Amino acid sequence: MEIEVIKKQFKKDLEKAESKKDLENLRVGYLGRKGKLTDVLKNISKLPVEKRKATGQSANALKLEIEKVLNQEINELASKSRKKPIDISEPGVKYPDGHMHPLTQFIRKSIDIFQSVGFQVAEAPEVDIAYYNFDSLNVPKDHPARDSFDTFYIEDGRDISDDKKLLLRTHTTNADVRFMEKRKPPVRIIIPGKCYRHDTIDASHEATFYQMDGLCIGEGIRVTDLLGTLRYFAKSIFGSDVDTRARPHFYPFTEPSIDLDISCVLCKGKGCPVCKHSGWLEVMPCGMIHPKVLKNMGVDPTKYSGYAFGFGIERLMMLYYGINDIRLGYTSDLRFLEQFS
Amino acid sequence: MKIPVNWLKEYVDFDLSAEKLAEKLTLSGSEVDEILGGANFKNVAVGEILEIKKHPNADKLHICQIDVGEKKPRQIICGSLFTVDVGDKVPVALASTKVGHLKIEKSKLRGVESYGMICSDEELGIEGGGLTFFDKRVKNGTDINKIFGASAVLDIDLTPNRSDCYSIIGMARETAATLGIKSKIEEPKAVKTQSDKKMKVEIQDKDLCPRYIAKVIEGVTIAPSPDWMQKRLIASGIRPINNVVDVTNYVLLEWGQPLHAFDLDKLAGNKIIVRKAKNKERIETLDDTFRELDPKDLVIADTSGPIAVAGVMGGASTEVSSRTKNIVLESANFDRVSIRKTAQKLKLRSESSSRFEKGLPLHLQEVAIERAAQLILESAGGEAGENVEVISGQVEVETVKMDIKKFEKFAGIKIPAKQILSILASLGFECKQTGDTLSAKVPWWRLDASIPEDLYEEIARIYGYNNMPSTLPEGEIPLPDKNLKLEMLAQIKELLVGAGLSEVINYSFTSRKNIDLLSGAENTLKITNPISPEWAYMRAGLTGSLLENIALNQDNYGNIQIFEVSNVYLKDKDLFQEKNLLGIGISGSIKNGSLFFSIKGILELIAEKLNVKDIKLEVANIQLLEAGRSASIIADGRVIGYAGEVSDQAKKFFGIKHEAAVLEIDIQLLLKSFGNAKQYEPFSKFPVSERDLTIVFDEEVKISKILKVIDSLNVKILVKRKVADIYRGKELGSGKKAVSVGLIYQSKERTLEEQEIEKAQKEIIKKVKEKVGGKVRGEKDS
Repeated sequence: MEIEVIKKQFKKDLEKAESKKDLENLRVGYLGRKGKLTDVLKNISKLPVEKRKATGQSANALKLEIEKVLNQEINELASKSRKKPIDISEPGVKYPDGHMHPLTQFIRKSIDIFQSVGFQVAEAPEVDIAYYNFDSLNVPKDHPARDSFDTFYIEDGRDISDDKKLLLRTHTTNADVRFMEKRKPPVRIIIPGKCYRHDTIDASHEATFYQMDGLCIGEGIRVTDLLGTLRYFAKSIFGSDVDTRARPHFYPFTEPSIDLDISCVLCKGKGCPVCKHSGWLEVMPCGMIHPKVLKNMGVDPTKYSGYAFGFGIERLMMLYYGINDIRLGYTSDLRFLEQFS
Repeated sequence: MKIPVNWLKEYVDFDLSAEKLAEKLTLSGSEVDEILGGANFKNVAVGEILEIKKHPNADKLHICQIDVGEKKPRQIICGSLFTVDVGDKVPVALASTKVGHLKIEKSKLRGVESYGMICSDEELGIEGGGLTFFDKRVKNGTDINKIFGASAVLDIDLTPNRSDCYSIIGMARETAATLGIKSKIEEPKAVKTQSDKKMKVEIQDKDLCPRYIAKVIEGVTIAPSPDWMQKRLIASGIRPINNVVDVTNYVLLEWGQPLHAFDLDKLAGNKIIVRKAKNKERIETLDDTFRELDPKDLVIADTSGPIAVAGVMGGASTEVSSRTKNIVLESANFDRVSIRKTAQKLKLRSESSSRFEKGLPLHLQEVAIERAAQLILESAGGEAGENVEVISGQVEVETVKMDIKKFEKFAGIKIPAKQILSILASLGFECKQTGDTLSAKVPWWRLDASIPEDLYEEIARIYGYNNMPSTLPEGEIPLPDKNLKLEMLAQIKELLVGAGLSEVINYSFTSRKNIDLLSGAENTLKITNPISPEWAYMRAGLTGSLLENIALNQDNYGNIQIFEVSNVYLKDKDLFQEKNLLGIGISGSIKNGSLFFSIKGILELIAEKLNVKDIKLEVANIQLLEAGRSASIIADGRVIGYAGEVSDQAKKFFGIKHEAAVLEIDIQLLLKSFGNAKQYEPFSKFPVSERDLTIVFDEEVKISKILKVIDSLNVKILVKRKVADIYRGKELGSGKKAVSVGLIYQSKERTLEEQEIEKAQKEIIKKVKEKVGGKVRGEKDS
């Protein structure tokens, strides 16, 4: 009879149990050293012989049953508390994703490199007077670049030969004399910015373009410093396997003038349509600042020397990102822009 | 400029492939754009035919064994287009290679292997038309570039300062200096004077014609020019005409001096007059076209009228024809700007005008006329007269001094004085050395050397820039100026991209239509020579561009958020005015509310991150924007921009389908309120208590007023307050809104007690109700 009572009592207790801890307490209460069922089993020897066998059997059966039930309950409880698996292929939470214009990105990369060798960013206006864009840079009045086929002019009632004639700057070199009017050597500046040239627009020509000019003036600035700085830039931006070569050239504001080429980044110098099968890309016009220009800057050319360079950002950016149409930069088409993080 | 290599070789002895020569010239300043003609072969060699057999499976094919200088002869299948014999030496392309666009690979032709191809002239792209047979003495396996190299033509992109290089002689000088060898150039001797036929030259405008030499040649026989001359003209891209005209072109190519020949018998008045054209004066030029001139153009005339457009093109009336017996040769120097302008105006840029445009040395005219006379006498016969010359320009010899030590300091390299002298000498500079000083006499053909730096360049370029090391500037480091504007702009761009906006860059040009709509033409800069009438103005703001961008993208993107940072330019009393602007445009469909608050949110984000403390919005009527849904942006009492919803009318104008809002801020003005770096403030260690206060107000009650009341109480323990929610619903009744204000209480000294918070809350409620009305939610009507 006692076994049946214990069994009923267990069932009642089990219903009340909620946690794993409750279940563990039940196990101790019934099957532990001082447990109810353990008591029965301990005292079996005290029972009359004829009852011993039956009581022993039913007590042992109950013990097994309790163990089984408790284990089941514990397992069930454990599985209930575990979270359901999720479909990890569902998309992540969307965060805002804006895009910086690739021109801005390329300009920033360039600025970082030049800043690492002591240059700082300077600015000049996009609309300027002829003096800063041409005259002060030793560009003669009759130079073809001043023709209205090449330069945009603003209607201001002045003659094209007037020093103050308003125009859209054709290069960011217009910053050079402006900047030096306020500063004394040594200086190292870079001038990124929008420029304009009267050009027929197609996949590789634009009337609007970005240029980055550089200016370095000090005592004892050498041709090798110019070469060093630009070689450093070329390898920093396009990788150390890019080769450079310098060719003599002609610009009115520098003497000597140089064109720095880089080995074609697309064909690695083997020759392809982009480099016109030459293996080289003409990217960086540069030179030692002409003594006349130094004088216009108020810098004594017998004491100081300097170099200047200027390159089109679009061309380098197009090579960098593999863009095949220069006009894309100004379309403001998000299908283009969103490709650049 | 096209330079046939074999013509160059007449003046300079060198043994280089055209490719190698091109590279060397490019690196010394004469950039070779392209090598034309048969000079750029890869794996094409001289092969001797050892054996010819019939192909067993094809009647028209032959199997040749050809010695191409390798250990074993190559087996090559060839057709029967040419007759070749054993012992012939022919050009053989060695597989695998490419000849022109033809790929040549090892292949099997009807079961027999072939390891190359015998190449015809046509396949090689060289002049001839058949098959080239080489001299038996040429070694088998010789690279054919070595043989054909001489027939290559270099297409050279010259710089405008080196007018002396636009000729074979000029390039021969460069080649000799580049390769470090002596040239064989000699100035021609004056031809013998045999004719005493007289004519006159009169120059009316000496500024535009500093030198004019005329020379009569009597009794010429017009015929085709010699073969060699014709070939060279063709190689340089000039069509041969007759032995007189061809000579003028030949000497133009050779020495760079444009010449002209007139039929003397057609010359009215036996006189050449150099003068400005009369207004609307007409001339029929050699291309059978009538052209109208004006007094800006310089003409060559006789007593009856113009017979040539000076330096640009001859006239038909005095053209040398097959019946011409007597000619007068012209070798002149014209003003380069005048020639350029006339050539540009008449759209007649010629070999002649392009050389005048670059400027010619005054000595060249006498050299060229003697050379031309010499060649005409050789090929057309006749007797030459004396030079008739008018010269007003000065033939100057310039001497430039330089210091060797200064050169070293300038270039950053040390070159022995001996090498410097030899480089300058190779370029025609006669130098004298006194200690470190060099005194260099500039050769007559160089118009571009006048300062020491010009000499530095000559030395450096021949020495080779690529032989110079890389260094960085030494000495004092330039100290930077802090540029807050650029820092702020960089920060704004990062911020906006982080917030999900995309940067656009637009053209600065805009149309009159846009200008009228946006800013009015009054202060706008107009371009004199726009590319198109649609681009005749400089934009004065960014909003127009951004609205165009929204319209462009709306079919591909439901929500658009873009920004642009750009300068704009406006008219000013004297010159111009510059503004640095930030523009933001957003668009998308919106069910309730207004996009105004999205754009306001962006503004608040900028203000917060840039630490601009005092930014306010004031309702304002703004062009293109919806009245009552747009505002001026005010910082520290200054209007720095505007923001608002785009009006329906403006959306229609730009073709925008959904709602749109824009913002424009003047960066310079914003900069004035740009907060300095935030300073650290010690934070309280005691807990905060957050309370929400929800009050139902009439719709008309402005949020700003409610907040003002709360702020005016100066509750010491209230550290933050913000509008948490604004709710409108039926249960509130129409014209009502429930405003929840989140209030945060904290003390720096202690943990706040419940009672004092309750006290503060009650005070706030009381004051708000008193000043602006409203009812705490759930509160009964009183």
